[in-house]
Amino acid sequence: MEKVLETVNLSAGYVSGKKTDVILRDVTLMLHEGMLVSILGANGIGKSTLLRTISGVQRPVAGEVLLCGKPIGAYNRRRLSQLVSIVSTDRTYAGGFTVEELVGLGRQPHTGFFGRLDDLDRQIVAQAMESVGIAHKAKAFVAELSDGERQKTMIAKALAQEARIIILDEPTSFLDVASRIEILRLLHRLAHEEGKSILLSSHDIAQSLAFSDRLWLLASDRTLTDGVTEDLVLDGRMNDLFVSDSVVFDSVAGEYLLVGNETKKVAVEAANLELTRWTANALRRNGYAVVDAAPLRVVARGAHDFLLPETGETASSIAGLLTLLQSERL
Amino acid sequence: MNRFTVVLVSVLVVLAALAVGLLFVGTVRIPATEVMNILTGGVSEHQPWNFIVIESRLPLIITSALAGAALAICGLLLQTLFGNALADPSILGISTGSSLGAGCVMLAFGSPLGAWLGAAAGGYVATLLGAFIGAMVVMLVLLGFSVVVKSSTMLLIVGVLVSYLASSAISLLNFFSTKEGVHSFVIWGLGNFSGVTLRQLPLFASVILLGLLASFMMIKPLNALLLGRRYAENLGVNLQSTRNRLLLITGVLTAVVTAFCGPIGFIGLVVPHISRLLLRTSDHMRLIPITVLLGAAIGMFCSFVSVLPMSNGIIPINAITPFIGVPVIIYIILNRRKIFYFN
Repeated sequence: MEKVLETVNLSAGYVSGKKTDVILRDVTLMLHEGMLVSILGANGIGKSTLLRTISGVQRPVAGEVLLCGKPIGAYNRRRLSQLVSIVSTDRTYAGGFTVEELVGLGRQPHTGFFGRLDDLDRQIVAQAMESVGIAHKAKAFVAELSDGERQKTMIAKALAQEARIIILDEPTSFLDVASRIEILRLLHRLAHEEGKSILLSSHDIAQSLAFSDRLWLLASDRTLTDGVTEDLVLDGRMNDLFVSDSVVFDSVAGEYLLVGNETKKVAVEAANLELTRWTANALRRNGYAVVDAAPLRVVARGAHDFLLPETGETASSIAGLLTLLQSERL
Repeated sequence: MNRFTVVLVSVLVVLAALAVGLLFVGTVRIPATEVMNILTGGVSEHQPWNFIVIESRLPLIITSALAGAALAICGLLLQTLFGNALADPSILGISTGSSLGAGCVMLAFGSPLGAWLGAAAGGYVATLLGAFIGAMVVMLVLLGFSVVVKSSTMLLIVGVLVSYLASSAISLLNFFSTKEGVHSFVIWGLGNFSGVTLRQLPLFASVILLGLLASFMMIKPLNALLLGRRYAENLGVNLQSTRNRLLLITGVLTAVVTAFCGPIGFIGLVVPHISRLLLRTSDHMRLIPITVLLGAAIGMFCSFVSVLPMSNGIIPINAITPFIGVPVIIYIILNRRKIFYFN
């Protein structure tokens, strides 16, 4: 697959006057065609700085960003806007445009002095709206859309721009879970079916793990690791993201868990994975470390059938189990 | 017919009606047949009537139309540039800056420097220059702050504060000026579309027409700016130069109108809103022409009210514009959630 973007010893940061504030040092990355890549990292670690630098909004402090083999600085504004399109969460004042008109603004890098759309432009706009599933709202005002629909409209704008790379800064941060999944599925489809290179930053670990072909992990020491999602998870790299000792990535559950304040150990034997997962969840919340083997054991035979083998007591729900354990402690 | 055509035709009809009204109605009663006669090149036996129609009513019509259009366009450009529905030349302090500049020249006429300036440049050119410099200084201050102050609401507040400073400087100037200087400055400050003479009209008209033309050239970047800075930049807009060009256009237009007609409020604020509400769009391709025409219509309407026969002389423009502006602004504030173009 073709390499559309790469960085060579890139340092990103801010220059104000004589002071240079380097946020990321010596980053070497590659972005290929037809892939969805997520940047994950803690707040303030430099995700947005990296995105801004590789989208050409901000100049690199050192090193280079190569776009289709050429330094990003070698492109003029118009050419650059035909290659890279962005979707941000910045405030817009576009409520008075219809969806169709806003998506039409994506054609600006291709249109003439007054930005008038010709038949081909209109066709591309219609296709973009169709592709993200917002065509039924074409005549609606942007101000009337839900957050999810608005985000789809912005993605359609990026598509109408016909850029090979689409960069999205936290595209799902204001959305409910259903819309988040929908947007990520859409982006994944655009990468795989339309050959777009999609790069997004996110705090939504679950959806990023589900839909990203690759992850760029910005570790707490500001080093960047690039790899296929599952390889990085299995190598335990997810634990590099946060400094905290009490927040650990559980690679079985695929999520971060709070550990370290447990006072007792407990072993769980359950009839199935679902029971294991939720019994452990309740126990952890109540101060137990869930381990493979411990003197205290909980046997979950069903959602309504729990047993403490040591005392022979039974409970018919998690609520009952917790009451038992509490009296046990006394 | 689409909405744009309907609005366009209606505004043109209103414009024509107002023009006719302003030709035939005035503080002096002139029979309609005589007005027609003078307009078609004839000469009335009643000598002052010739003068009134050609040297007073015609310039008044053109001045109020052009000034209204210029202020309305300034409001539209500033609202889009600052992403703020309440931006306009008077609120951002540009008009006040312009007044200060003009005031410096007008009130200094008593002083040797002022007399020299007046003699050298022919009075109104010096005032014009003063107004322009004043407007540009405020523009530059706003521009400087806009680099540091990211929030457009805060920038608006900076504008209001600058405006207060300029006002107090104007008070100081008044305090130290001659009685005649203060009198003419106060009269000028009331706003007046009848101050442009037939001789000054070509300069006034050509500068404003150039400014209006220039704003038509900004349609594409203006639309992109509605998406916010980052999106606009990503669409290939050069933010720096776009912003500078917009500020130059509004600076020149505000300065010219302020120098000739005084600082006039509300037209710049409300006309863009009325245009959006009528057209139901934020698209500058349609907004700019309608804003120009509607601004002209409202300018002429103000003139019409100011010269109504029962008014016993000319009512100051700034006494009329709030009656048009305030209700519109209150309507917009009350209906903010319902109005389609917010957010």
